[in-house]
Amino acid sequence: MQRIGTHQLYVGIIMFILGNTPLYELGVKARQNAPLAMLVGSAAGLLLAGMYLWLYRRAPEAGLTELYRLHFGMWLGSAIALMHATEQGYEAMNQIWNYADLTSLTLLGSAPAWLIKLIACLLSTYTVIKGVEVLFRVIELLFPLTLASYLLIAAMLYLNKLPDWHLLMPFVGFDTIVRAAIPQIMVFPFGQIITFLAIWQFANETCKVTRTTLLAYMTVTVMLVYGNAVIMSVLGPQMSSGTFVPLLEVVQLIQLGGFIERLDIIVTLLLFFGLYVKLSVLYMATVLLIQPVLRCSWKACAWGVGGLLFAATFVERNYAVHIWNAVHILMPYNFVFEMAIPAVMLVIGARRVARKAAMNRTALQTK
Amino acid sequence: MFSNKEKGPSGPKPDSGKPEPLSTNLGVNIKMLTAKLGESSDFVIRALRSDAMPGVEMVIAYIKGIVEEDAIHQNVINPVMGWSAPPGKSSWIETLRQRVITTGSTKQVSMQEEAVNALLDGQCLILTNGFREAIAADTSGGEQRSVAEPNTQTVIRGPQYSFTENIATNIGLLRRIVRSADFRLRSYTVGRKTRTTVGLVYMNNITDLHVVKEVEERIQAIDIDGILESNYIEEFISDQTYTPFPTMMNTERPDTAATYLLDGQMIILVDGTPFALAGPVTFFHFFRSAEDNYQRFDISTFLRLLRYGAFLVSMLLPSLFIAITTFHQEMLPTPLLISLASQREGIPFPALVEALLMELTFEVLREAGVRMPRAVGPAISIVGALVLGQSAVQAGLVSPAMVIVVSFTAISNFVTPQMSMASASRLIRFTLMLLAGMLGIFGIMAGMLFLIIHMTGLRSFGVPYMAPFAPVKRETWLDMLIRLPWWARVFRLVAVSSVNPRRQRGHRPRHQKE
Repeated sequence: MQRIGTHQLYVGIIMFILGNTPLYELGVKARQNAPLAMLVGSAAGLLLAGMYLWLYRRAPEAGLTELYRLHFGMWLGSAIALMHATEQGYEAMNQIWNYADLTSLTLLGSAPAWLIKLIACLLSTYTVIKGVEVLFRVIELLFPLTLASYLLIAAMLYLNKLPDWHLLMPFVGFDTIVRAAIPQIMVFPFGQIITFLAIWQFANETCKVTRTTLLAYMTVTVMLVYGNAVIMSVLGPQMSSGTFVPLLEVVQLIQLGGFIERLDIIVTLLLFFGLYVKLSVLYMATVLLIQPVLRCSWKACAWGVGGLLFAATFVERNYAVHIWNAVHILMPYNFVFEMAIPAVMLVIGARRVARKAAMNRTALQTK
Repeated sequence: MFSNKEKGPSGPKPDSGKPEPLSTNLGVNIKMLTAKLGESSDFVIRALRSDAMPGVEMVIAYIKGIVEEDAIHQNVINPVMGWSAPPGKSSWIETLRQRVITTGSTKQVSMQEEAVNALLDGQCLILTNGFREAIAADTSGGEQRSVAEPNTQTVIRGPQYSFTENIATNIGLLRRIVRSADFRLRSYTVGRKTRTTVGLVYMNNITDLHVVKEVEERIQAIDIDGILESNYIEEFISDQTYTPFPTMMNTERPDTAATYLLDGQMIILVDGTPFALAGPVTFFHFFRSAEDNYQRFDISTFLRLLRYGAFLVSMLLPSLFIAITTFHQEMLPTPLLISLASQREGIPFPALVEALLMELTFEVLREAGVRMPRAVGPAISIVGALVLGQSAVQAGLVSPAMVIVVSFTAISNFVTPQMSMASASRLIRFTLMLLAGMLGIFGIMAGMLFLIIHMTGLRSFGVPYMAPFAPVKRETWLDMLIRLPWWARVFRLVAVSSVNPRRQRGHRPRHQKE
C-alpha cells in the first residue's frame, strides 16, 4: 500500500488549500476588512475540519467510500460516494476551466482553449495514474518553489513601498464581516479540506494526522490572511473587488532596478502550480471515491475519470455560464457534502461504526 | 507452397548440453579440444617428455595471446620437466598440481566443457595419458593498458589515476582505497559468447543487503551473447528503460567509486570497461563532482549551485528565448526588446526555426568533434566558429542574440559532471523548444511539470529519484544541495542505507571553537 509521510501531508494540505485561492480576493463583501473575514471564515472552517478529523479517527484505515458505507450501509453508502465523486469531479473541472481562462487571459490570447484543457487534464491524469505517493512527492517539490516565490513577491512589494496599511481601516462592523465569511469563505477554500477524508487513509503515522492537519490549517490560514491583507492594502477595496485576478494586478505594479517588471507572467506560473495541485488532488479523490464502487482497475478508472472531466468542460458554453453554475449549483452541493452529510454521520451512532470498523479489521486479519 | 509450418529463426539456442567427461586417452582428448576450438591456429599443444619420467605422456595446451608464456615456461614446464613421478601410479596427478606447478592458482578439470572454458580464460591445461583429470594452471595474461590519468572526469586537486579495462586491476585499485574487511565482491559471468566477468562490490555493513540481493538477481537474469561495455549491464538492470534520465551513474575514478561505496551505493565493474557503474542514485547525485570533496566547502557549494543553474540553462534557455521573443515580448525591458527586434529585422525564419537550426548545427559540430580523426581537429573549430557563427550572422540567416543563446546553452551543457545526465538535458531541450514554439511559456511550464512528475515517479533500485527532497530526508537534504564542511557531513547520502547511516559522530573539532 502506498504511504505518505507527515511532512508530505502537511505540505499537501497547505498547497491544496492555497491551490486556486490566490485567483480571488475573498471576502470583498466586508470591503476593507476582507482579511478579518478571511480569519473568521477560517475559524468557522476549523470546526468543519475538526468534524472531518473526528470522522477519520473512527476508522483511520478506511477510505471515504468505506466510511460512507460504514455509516449508511452498503447501497446508500455507495450511492453517496458516487454522488460525492460527482461533486469532487465538478470541482476538479472547475480547475480545468481556471487553467484555460487564466492562460487565455495572461499568457496566450490566441491558443485554443481545448488544447490548454487537454494539457491540464493529461498532466493530472499522468499524476493520478502514478498514485498518491507520487502526487504528494510532486507537491513536496513544488512547495519550496511556491513558498520562496510568494515570499520574494512580498519582499518586492515592500521594496516598492506599495502596501498602504491605512487602506485596511476603518472597521466595517462585525456582522458585515461574519456575513462575508460565512458561509462563503468557510466553504471555499477552507471547507474543501473534506477531500482529505479520502487521502488521510494513506498517512503512515495515524497518530500524527490530527496534529499535522491542524498545523497545516493554521499555516495556510496565516498565509491566506496575510496575502489577502497585502492585496487589500495595495489595491484598496474598490480595485480588489473590481479586477479579475487581483494578485496579478498587484504584481504588475512591481518595478525594480529598471528591468524587473511584468512579473505577472511568473506569478501566472505559480498559479498554475496551485491549480495543478488542486486539480490533481480533487481528481485523485474522485478516483478514490469511485474505484471501490466500480471495482475496476486503478488505471482504467483514472483514464475514465480524466476523459469525463475533459469532456465535461465542453458542456458549459463559456466561462460566464461556468461561473454562474459554480455559484448557483455547486454551492448547495458543497453544503450537502461538506456539512450536512458529515453532520449526519457524526450523529449516527459512533459506537456502532467503531464496532463495525473493528469487525472489518479483524475479518481482514483472519483472512 | 507455404503450407509447412514456417520455422523461421528460432533464436540462439543456449550452448548447454550434457556435460561430458574427459577421456583417459590423451590422443582423444587432444582431438576433442582441437575440434572444439575449430582447429584455430593460435591453439598451442606442446608435448612434454622428460627423462625423469620415462613412459609418461604429457601435453601442455594453451591459447596464444591470452596467456603469459614466460609464466608457463617458469612455473609449469620447467618444474614438470625436472620432477619425477613417485612410483605407484595412484594419485601423483594431485601431487603434481599441488607441489610441482607453481602458478598462483591451479585446479583439477574433469569435464570437456570446463577444459575448453579454462583454455579460453587464459589458463594452461596439462593433460596426461591415462588420467581422466587435467590440471588447469592460471597463467592468464596478455597485453594490457596500464593505469593512467582519467580522461573524462578530470580534477585539479585529487588522485590522478583511473580504472583500466582489466577488472582484476580495478578491484585492486578499489581495495587499496577501502582497506576494510567489510569490502565485499561478488563475481558473475555474463554473456554466452563473451563470458564477461561482472563484479558487484559493496560494503557489508553499509549497503542495504536487500538491494544487493535484488541487483544480484537482476544480473543473473541477463541472457545475452555478449557484454562489451558496462552500458549493456546498466540497461539490463536499471529500473526503467523509457526515461531520458539515467538511473545509474558511472565513474572512471577509483576515488569516486570509493566515495559511492562509503555512501552505501553498490559498484558494478565489468571486465573490459574502464568505467564503474554505481547505484542506487538520485537525480542530485549527478551534480556532484569528485572535486567537491577535495576543495574547500565554500567554493564547492558555489560550484555545485552553479551546476544546477547551468543544467537548467542548458535545458531551458533556447525555449525561454523562443517563448519570450515570440509570445511574451512584454516581459522584456523596452531597450532590450528594441535591440532584439532590430537584430531580427532581416531574419527570414521564425525564432523556433532559427533556434532549431542553430541547435542542430551545434549538435552536428559536436558529433563531428567526437568522430573525426585527431588530425583534422582544427578544421572543425574554424568551420564552427567562423563560418557558422560569424558568417551566418553576417549573411543575415541568424541573429547574433541567437548565436549567443545557443553557445551559452552548449557550454552550460558541459558543466554537468556526468555525461549521461548532460545528454538527457540535450534531448529534453529539443522537446521544450517545440513546446515553447507552439504554446510559449505555458508550453514550457507544462513540459517542466511533466518532467517533475516523471522524475518523481522514477526509482533507482527502490530509492525515489528525487530522494532527499521528495520525500524529504531531514538528515541529508542539505548535504545533497550544498557541500557542508567535512565534520558536519554526518550521514551517508543514499537513502536506502538505514543499516549504518552515520559516517562519523559529527562534532565540530574542539580546537575550532571560539
